[in-house]
Amino acid sequence: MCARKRSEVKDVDRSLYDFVKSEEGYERFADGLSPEIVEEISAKKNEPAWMLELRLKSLALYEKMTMPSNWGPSIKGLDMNHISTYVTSGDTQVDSWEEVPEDIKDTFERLGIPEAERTSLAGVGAQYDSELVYHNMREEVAEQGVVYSGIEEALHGPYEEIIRDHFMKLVPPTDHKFAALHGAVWSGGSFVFVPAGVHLDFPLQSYFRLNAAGAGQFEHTLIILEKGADLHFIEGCSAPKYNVANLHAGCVELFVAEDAHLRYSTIENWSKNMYNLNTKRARVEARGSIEWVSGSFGSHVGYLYPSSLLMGENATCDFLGITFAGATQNLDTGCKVHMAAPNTRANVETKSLSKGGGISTFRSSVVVTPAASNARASVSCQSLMLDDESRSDTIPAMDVRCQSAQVGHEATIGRISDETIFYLMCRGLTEADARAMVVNGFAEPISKELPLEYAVEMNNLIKLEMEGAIG
Amino acid sequence: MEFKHLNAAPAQTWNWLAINDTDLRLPDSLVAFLPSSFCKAIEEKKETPRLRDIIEALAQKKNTFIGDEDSQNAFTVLLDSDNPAQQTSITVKKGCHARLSIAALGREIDTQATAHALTILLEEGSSLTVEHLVAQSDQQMHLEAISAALSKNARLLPVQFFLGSGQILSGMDVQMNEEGAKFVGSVQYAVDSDQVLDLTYTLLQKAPRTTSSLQVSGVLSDNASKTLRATIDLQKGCKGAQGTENETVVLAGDSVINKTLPTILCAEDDVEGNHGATIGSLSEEMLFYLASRGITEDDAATLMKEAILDNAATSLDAPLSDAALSWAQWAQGPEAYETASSARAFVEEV
Repeated sequence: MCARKRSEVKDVDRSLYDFVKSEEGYERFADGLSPEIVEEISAKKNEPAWMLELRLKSLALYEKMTMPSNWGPSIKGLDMNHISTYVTSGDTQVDSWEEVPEDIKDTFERLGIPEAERTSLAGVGAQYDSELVYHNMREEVAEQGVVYSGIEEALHGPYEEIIRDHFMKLVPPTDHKFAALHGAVWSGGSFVFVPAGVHLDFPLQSYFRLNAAGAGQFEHTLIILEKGADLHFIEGCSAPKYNVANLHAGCVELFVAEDAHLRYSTIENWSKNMYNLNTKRARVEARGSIEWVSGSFGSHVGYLYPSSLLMGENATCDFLGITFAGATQNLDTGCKVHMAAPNTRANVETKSLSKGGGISTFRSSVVVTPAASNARASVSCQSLMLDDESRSDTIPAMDVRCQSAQVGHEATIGRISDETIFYLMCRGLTEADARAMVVNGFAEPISKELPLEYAVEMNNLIKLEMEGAIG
Repeated sequence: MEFKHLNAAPAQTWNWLAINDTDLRLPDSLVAFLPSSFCKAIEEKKETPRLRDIIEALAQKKNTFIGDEDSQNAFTVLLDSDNPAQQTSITVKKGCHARLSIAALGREIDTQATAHALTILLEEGSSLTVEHLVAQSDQQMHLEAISAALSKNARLLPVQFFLGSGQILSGMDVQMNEEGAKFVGSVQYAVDSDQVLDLTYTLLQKAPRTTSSLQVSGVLSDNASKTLRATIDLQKGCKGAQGTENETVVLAGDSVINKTLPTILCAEDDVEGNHGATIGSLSEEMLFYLASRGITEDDAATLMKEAILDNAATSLDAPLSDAALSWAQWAQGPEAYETASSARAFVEEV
């Protein structure tokens, strides 16, 4: 039997992101973890005493906790003794790109951030290694009472009490080992507060760039939407590739009050030496809604499961996710939904592609408590295998404890069928075009939900170039 | 004696969900059968036994069956108070077909736990139908571990009915080792009161053009708890393989717990893997339709349980279908018995 001739799908093109800037003159803390390092980070930020206490308790937890041994990708290649938890250029945060140091400004220019800010955003935060270097928001948005700043900045103002009430309350340091690590060494990130009834017409965006080799980035994003508020928040991240491990252990906490709506979009494109152990969680009150749009393309190892706690009656959650795992990547992604109130709704739709020996695992949980009468949940997971060197696993769990709930789940794994290609070729397409059409159609439910410039970026990221002939 | 991490799923997930495996407190009536060497090894923590290891250690009776051209190839294993723990090995020779019936039975007053370990070897082109019925009292427990190895074009066709028992742990590992091997499994259950049903299926598709199909359906009522871990493992080299699993669960009680972990593992591109699950109560439209015909929600739940009993009575061969009817009489009452008997008579007549 002759071997089937395969069509090729090229790797994600990361050349746009893979450039390095000099670290000369930067302040870099010693590798590893110690109470002294944690105290030094806290002192640098001139934090209130309660935050230092939280950091030190978190460090103690981190030292005690272990990673699960029975599930998830290996993180043996990550040695915290070779990770610096704090690196900074030493420049202060500014609100004008003209004042940003040339090297850093060039980085964000290349990534298209200032351009996006001018054309389609209500505000931008840009973090470079451990600290924010730029933060700005349109005046008319600020006039509505919206707050968008760095967490450290907000800690020294009138919002300290609010931050204290919410910071690491949704994702406590006890949650898992890397949540504890985050609690100990977090730095940078964003604080967003949208007052009751305020709707933002344009999104806010935070972009996180990790330039330093062998470093960690631990930004914290805290978003609070008051009753009836509406926000679209975009998060982007990237890093150049090094031969040593880098670590990202960020934390996102989202509080969505009654009747409020939050869309949280992420395009994650860390380099292939990155261990991405990020934690994202939203709490949604009555009639509130959270929409996650998530694209995972980068990282060597990824653990990423945005979770939604539907705590109020009629609260809803929509999760749209796409994962592309190429050579040397092991991406364990998915989501968690916890339904704890009547008439809650959840809709999960994910796509994954594996190629070149990449491993993609979809992992999810839908928990319906006895209080969630009449809850409805739907989970759909589709995986496309682009060669026989790769892996694609789906591990969805459902725990239903309410008689009146309805939970549906469907999952499919396969390749692009020859019949589909044949059908399209019969209508005049070349095989390459046919395959491109199928793959683009596969990703389309996600890309159409992204802002235009991010949809373009996603298409650029996937860069599916087809070759070959029908096998 | 307590055992941890039994009936484990091969690919696991978050431990806080408490779905990856289960723990077991072995009743004294079975502990008495355990050899002292086995207990000693456990105590010294030299071994972390699997469900199969425990049952094999318990087994007091060993059955060996061969399905070949010379025999009638119909075998029965009856697990009751007289022979509660058994171990069975069956080989079906090339091109032959056999039928194996396994019944774990009890009466209302019975408390004896039962356990059975089954090893299946199917040679090229052979097939085996396994009929498996568990119909016991709420005071009983049943443990079952089934392992099967399938050769080229062999077919394994299990039909399982879990009608009643205080606690059931059942695990099935099927290895489709050679081209064209096929697994078609049907599982039906009705779990009520405080009963616990814990099922694990691991279907390894190692060779080209292997097929697996697992259909699971059932009704949970009262305080019943059910966990299903079903894994289709499409391993490298199984080109052209297909794997499908479907589950339908009707929730008919305020305090039921349903856990489902349907997993597809895939290391091959030229395959098809599908999973579907529907978990919930009857829809409002359906309840309205039934109510307009004088059937309440409780009646509907009873009818669904009776439908599973009817399926057992009509689709299982004697003596299992007789056993299902006998169980219906004392466990479900004369009405359920009459309905199931009528259904069987009708099917036989047709």
